[in-house]
Amino acid sequence: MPLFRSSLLVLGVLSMLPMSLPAADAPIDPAKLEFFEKSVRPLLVKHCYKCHSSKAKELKGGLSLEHKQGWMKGGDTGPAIVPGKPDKSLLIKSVRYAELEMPPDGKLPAATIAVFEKWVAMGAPDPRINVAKKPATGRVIDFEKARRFWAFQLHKPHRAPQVRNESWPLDDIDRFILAGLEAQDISPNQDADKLTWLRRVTFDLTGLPPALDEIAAFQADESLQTFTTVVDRLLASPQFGQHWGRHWLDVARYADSNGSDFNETFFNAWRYRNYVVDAFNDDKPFDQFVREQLAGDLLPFESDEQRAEQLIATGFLMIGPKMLSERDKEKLSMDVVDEQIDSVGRAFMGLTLGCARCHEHKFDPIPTEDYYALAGIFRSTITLEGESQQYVSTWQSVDLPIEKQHASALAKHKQAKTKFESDIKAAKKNLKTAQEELARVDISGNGIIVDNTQAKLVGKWKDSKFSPHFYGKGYIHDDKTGKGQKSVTFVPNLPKAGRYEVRISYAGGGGRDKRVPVSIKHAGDTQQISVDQTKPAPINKLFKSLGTFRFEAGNSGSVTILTKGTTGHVIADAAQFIPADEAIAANRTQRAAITKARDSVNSLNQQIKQLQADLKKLDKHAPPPAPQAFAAREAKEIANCELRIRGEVHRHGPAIERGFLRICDAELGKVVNKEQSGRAELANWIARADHPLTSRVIVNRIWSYLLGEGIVRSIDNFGHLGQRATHPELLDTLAVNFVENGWSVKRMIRRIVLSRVYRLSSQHNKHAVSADSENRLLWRAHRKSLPAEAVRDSMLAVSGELDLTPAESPVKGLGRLAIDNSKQGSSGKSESTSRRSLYLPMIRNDLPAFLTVFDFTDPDVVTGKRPLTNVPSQALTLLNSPFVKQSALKMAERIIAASNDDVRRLERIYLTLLSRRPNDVECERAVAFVAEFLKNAETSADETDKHTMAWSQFIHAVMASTEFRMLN
Amino acid sequence: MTNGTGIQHVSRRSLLKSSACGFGYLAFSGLSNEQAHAAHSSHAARISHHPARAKRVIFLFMHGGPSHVDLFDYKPKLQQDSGKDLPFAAAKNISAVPKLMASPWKFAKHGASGLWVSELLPNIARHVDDLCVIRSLHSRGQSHGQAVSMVHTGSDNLIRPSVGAWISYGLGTCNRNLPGFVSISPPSGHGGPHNYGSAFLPAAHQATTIGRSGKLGDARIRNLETNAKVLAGQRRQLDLLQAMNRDHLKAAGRDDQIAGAIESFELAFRMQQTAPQVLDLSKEPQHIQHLYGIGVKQTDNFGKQCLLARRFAEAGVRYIQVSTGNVWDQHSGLKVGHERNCREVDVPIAGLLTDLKQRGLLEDTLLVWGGEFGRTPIVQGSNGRDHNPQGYTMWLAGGGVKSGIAYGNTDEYGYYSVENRVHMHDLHATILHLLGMDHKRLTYRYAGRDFRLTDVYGNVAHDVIA
Repeated sequence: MPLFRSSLLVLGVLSMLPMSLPAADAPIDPAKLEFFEKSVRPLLVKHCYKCHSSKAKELKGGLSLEHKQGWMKGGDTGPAIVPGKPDKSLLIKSVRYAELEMPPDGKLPAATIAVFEKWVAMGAPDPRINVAKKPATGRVIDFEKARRFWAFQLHKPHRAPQVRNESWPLDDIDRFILAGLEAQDISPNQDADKLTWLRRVTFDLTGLPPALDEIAAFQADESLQTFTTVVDRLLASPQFGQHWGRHWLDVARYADSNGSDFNETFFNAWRYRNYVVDAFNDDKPFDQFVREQLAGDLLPFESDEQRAEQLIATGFLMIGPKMLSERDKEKLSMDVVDEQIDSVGRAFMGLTLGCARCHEHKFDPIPTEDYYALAGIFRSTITLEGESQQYVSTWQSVDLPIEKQHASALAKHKQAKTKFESDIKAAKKNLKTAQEELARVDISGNGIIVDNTQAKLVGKWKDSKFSPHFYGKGYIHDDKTGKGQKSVTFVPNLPKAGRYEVRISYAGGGGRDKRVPVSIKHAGDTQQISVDQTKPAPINKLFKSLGTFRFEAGNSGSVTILTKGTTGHVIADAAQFIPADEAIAANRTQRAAITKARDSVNSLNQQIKQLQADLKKLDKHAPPPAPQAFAAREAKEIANCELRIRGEVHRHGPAIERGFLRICDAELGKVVNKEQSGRAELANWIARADHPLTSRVIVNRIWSYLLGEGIVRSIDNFGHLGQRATHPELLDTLAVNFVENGWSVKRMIRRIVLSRVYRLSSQHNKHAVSADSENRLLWRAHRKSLPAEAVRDSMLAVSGELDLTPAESPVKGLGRLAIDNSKQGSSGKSESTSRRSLYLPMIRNDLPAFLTVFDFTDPDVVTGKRPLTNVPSQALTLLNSPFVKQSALKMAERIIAASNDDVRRLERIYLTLLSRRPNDVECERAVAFVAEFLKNAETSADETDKHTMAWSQFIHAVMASTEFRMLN
Repeated sequence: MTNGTGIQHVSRRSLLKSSACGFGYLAFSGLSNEQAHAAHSSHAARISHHPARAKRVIFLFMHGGPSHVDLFDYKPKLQQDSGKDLPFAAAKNISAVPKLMASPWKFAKHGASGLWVSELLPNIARHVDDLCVIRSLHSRGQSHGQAVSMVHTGSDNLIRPSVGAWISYGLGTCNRNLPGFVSISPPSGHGGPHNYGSAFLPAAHQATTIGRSGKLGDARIRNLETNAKVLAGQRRQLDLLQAMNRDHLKAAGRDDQIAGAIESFELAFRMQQTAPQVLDLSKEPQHIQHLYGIGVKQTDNFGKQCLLARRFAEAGVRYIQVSTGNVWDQHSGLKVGHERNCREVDVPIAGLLTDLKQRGLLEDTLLVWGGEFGRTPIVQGSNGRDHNPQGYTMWLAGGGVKSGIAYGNTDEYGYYSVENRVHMHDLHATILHLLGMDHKRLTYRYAGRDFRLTDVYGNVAHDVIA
C-alpha cells in the first residue's frame, strides 16, 4: 500500500493532544432533533458519508461525520464543527469552498449550505453516537525504545576478531571481513593481479587511468612498499581532490544553475565547487568541513582568506533547486527550508527528514516537532531575497573580502567610469540644446527625405547595415547581380513648386562601384550624372549633393539609381530634396544660422560617439568584478517556526522552539543562543565525535566509493527503511578510528585501499555465489563501472587532449537565465573544454549530454550512489558520438607515430586503455581487423590516412568495450 | 501490414497480445526492480490490471496555457457582462484585475453533438463528434513551473517520474527496436527534462526526444547513425567489439552488467535500422502530408510533429507527446497570440484525428489535448488573460472514451471548475485506467516507499469512459 495514502490515516499533532470527550449528552430539544433528522442527516448521508463514514473504503482525512464524536474530534485538521459558530467551523468553511473544497466533486447548492449553517448555528444538535469506537490511531514515539535501533546507538570500537587464516589479513579491516567469510565457510578470492589493482586504485583515487610510465614504474618496483608508494603518490596528486570533490558535489547536489521553473544562472557556485576540491586535496578535517558548509558565515576567522573560504562553504545550503516563480511566497519559503532540511539530513546523517514535514515520520523516530525545530533554524537564515521580476524570487550575492590592490583598481576604474558617464551626460544635454536651436532656426528642416524603404525597386535588392553610415534603418544593394536590369527610384511628394537641392545617400566605401549612373527627373528634363560610391559621401559621410533643380509640386520629379555599366556594388539608401528658393526656403542669413546649428549638432554627436567608444574600451580593460559568493546569511528576524498542520503551509500550529533531533541525543537539544539562527549550534551538534550518525555515514560513503557497495548499502538512508550493515562492528570501528585520526578522509582512504579486501579479484566463484550471491560478505571485489566523468576524462587523457588545469567559472558567458523558458536552448555555453568533466557547466535541465548518458548524478537530489543503468543510448553514444570517434582518432595518430610495429602498437593500446598487455588471440584478432579494414578501404585513399583510420576504428572498439568502462 | 510507406508495422492484433511481446515481466521475478532493470534494458511489455481500452497515448501539449473561454468553454454570460466586475473572489496571486473580458471570438455549435467551439479552431471543430471535452479540469500551480510539472508528473514540486515513463514502465513497448516513450519537441524550460524523465524509475523509461521547445529541427535522435554505408562498416566494428565483450564476460565468469551491455549494443544497432524509417516523413504520400498541413509555412512544423506521432504510434510506441513551444501564455495580446497559435495547430490536429480514424487507430489510441492550465475570464492589462488552474478545458479522443460529449462545467464565467470536477490527478488516473492499469496499483518502490503517479489522490472519471 502506498505510504502516502496510509499516512492520511495517521493523525496530525493536534489529534495527539488529549481530546476532551463530550460530557454525558444532555437530551436534545425535540424541534432541533426533528430539524436534524429531517434536514441534516439526509444531507450528511448523501454528500459526506461516501468518504467520511464507515462506508468509506478509507476514511478521508481521518474525519468521520457518522457520529458526534467524529466531528468533535475531527480529522487531521482538527475539529470539524464548533457548535454555534458556523464561521469558525471547518465543515462550513469547506462546503462554502472557502478553505477546503467539500464535497470535492462540486460545490453544493446555496440552499443546502444554508441548512448546514443553520444546524451549526443552533449548536449542531446530533443524537448519533459512535457505536463501533475504534482505538486512536495516533503514533506516539517511545524514544527509549527507538534509541535501541542500531543507527541511533553511539558507536564504539570493537576488537578485531580472531581468524583461522592468520596470513591473510593485512589490516584489521581484513580480520572483520575474513571472520565473516570463515563463519559461512567461504574462501575469499585470490588477489587481483598487480596491474588490475593499479588500474583500480588509480581510477578510484583520481578518476583517471594510470599512465604508461606509472605502469612501468609499478611493475619494476619489487620492494615491499610498492603499494604504499603508489597510494601516497595518488593521494598527493591534485587529481585526487578533483575526483573526490566530485563525489561530495553529488552529495551536495551541486549545479551551476537553479533548474526547476526559472533556470537562473548561479554565477558564483563554482567557488563552492573549487572549495570542495581544495578541501579534499588539503585533507580538511571532515568535522570542520561540515561546520563550514552549514555555518561558515558564523565561524570565527583569522584572515580574509579564511573568512572568504567559510562564506563560500555555505553555498551548500543555497545550491538546491527552487521553484522561484511560486507565487505563494510563504509556500516557497517553507519549500526552500524543506529542501535544506532534507539535504542536511541525507548528506550528513543519512536520515530522510523531509517525511516529517507533514506527519510524524512513518518509520524513523522523527516527530513533526523536531522537523519544525530545525525549520526555525533555516527560516532564520536568508536564502532567497527580493524578486528578479514580478512573482519570481531571487537571491543576493554576498561580498567576499577583497585584496587591497584589487579594491583600489576597482575604485580607480569606477572613478574613471563615473567621469566618462558624467561627460556623456553633459554632452547629451548640450546636444539637446543644439537640436532645439536647430529646430528653431531650420524652419524648413532637412527638406524631404525619401528612404530606400519608400523607394520603387526594380529587380532584387538586398538589405544591409554593413556600413555604419546610412539613413533610416539600413540601406540596400544590388548584390552585384542583374546589372543593368535593376534600379531604385526615389519619388518625393513636394509641397510647392520651386528649386530644390538634390542629395543622395549611399554608404560609400570599398567594393562599391566608381561610376554609378544616377538620373534626375526634374521640371525641365531628365539629367544623368555619375556618382563615385567608393568613398564616403562628403556631407557628414552621409549625403552627396547632385546639384539644384526645378521641380513642380507633387510627385512628378524623381531620382533614380541605375546599375547599367557598373561592376562594383551599387548602393541605394535615400534621396533628399532641400528647398533652395527663398520663396520656399530660408534666406541666406537663416541658412547660415542653420548651417551653424547643424554643425554644432554634428560635432556634439561626434563627441558623444567618441566618449562612448572610450567608455567601452575602459570597461573592456576593467579589473575583474569584486569577488562575491553564493552564500547563506543570518536573517534580520530570528524566530521560531510555527508547526504546519499536515504540512499545509497556511495552517499554523504552535511555534516550535529551535532545536535538533531528539533521537540523536539523550536530552532534548535546543538552540541556546537566541540571537542567532542556530545554524552554528546545529553544525556543532552534527559534527561532533559522539553523534551516532555523522562519522558512520561519511565512513560508509568512503567505503562505498572504494569497494563498490557500502557496509550499509543504502548510502543515504540509515533509518529503518535503509539496509542493515553487512559488517556493523567494522563500520563502528572505522568510524571511531576516523574521528580519532582527526576526521582525516585521506587517512581513511589510505587504510582501506591498502587492505587485503581491496586487493581481491572480482572473479566469479560458483561456490561462493551459492552461499552469498550478492557478495555481501566481500569474498570478491565488486566489478565497478567507471563514473561518467572518468569515461570522458580518460578518453581525453588517452588521446593526449586532457587539460589538467583547474578552472573557474563555467557560466561566465551566460545570461541571467541559463535556459530561457520561452526560447530554445540555453543562452550560450561552451562544452568544448578539454578540462576535466568536473569543470563542465552543470546547468540543471541541460546537463552535459555525454555525462548524463553514463548515469551522471541528478543534481536535484542528494546522491550518495548513482544509479547504474544499461540503456541503448549508452551503446549509441559509444558507437557514434563525435567525441568518442575524435578521441580514438587522436589516439591512433599518437600510436602510429610512436611505433611502426603492429604488435608494439597493440601493446601500447592495451596498456593505455586497459592497463594490461594483449594475449595472442587478441593480437591476431586485432591484426585481422586492421587488415580487413585496409582491404575494404577505397584504393584511392592516402596510405597513412587509411592506416590511421584502421587503427582508429580498432581503438574506438576498445574504448566502447565493457572492459574499458569497468574496473575489474 | 504496410501503410504504403514501405514500413513494416506491428499489426494491431499483435499489439493486443501485448504480454507476448518482448521478454516478459515474469522473467525478472525473483529480482528486485532495480536489479532487473540494471541487468536488462527492459523494454518489456507487462501485464495489465484489467482489460485495456487504449494501447497507447498521444498527448498534444499546448505549452503556456491556452484560453478555454476562447476555445471550447463558451460562456454567454461572460460575453454579456464584459467590462463588469467579477461578482465573486478571484484566485490569489494573480495580476489580472477582477473585470470580466468577453471572448473576442465567435462561438458556434458543431457536429451532431452540437458542442461549442470558437471560430479559432474551424478544423478541429469539424471533429467535435469524436471529442470528449472535459470542461472542469483543475490543477495545482498558479505559475507555469508548478503547473507544467503537475500535468507531466502529477507533482507540482517534487521530482517524480513523468506520465510517459510510468506508462512505459507499466506497459513496456511492443517494438523491441524502439523506446516505449517518445517526446517530440519537449519544453526545454519549466523543468525541461523532468517533464519527460524517469526520475527513480529505471532510466530505460525516460523519453527519447526529437527536437526541442516546440521546434522539430532536423528531427533526429541523438547519436543515431543512419547512413547505410557507415552502418555496414559499423557492423564489422561491432562484431569485433562484441567479441571483446564476450571475452570479458567469459573471464569474469558471470556478470549481469556485462551481459546487459552486450545485449544493449545489439538493441542499439537494431534501433539504428528501425528508427530512421519511422522518422523519414518523405515517404508519406502527398495527400497525407497535405492533410497535416505539411508544406504550408504556418502549419509545417506542427504538422510534421503530428505526423511523426502517428508513425511512432503505428510502430508500437506507448506514449508519444507532441509539444508546442511556450507560446500560449497571452498575458497581453490575446488576440494576435491565440490567432497565430491556433492557425499553427488547428489543421495538423484535425489532420491527425482524420488520419488516426481512417487507419482504425483512433479506436485504441487515446488522444489528449491541453495545456498546463487555462486562462482567466478576467482581464490582465488591456487585452490579456492570466493563468487559471482553477478551471479549464482539456479534451480526449479515441481510446475508449465517450465521443461527442462535454463533461463537467466551470461557473457561469468559466473561472472555477464547479461541476463534475476533474483534477489533474483524476485525469492521470483515468488515462492509466483506459490503458488497463489501476493507478493505485501501479507503484514503484523507491527509498523504502511505494510511489504512484497519482500520489495519494486521483479518482477515475468513469463518466467519460464509453
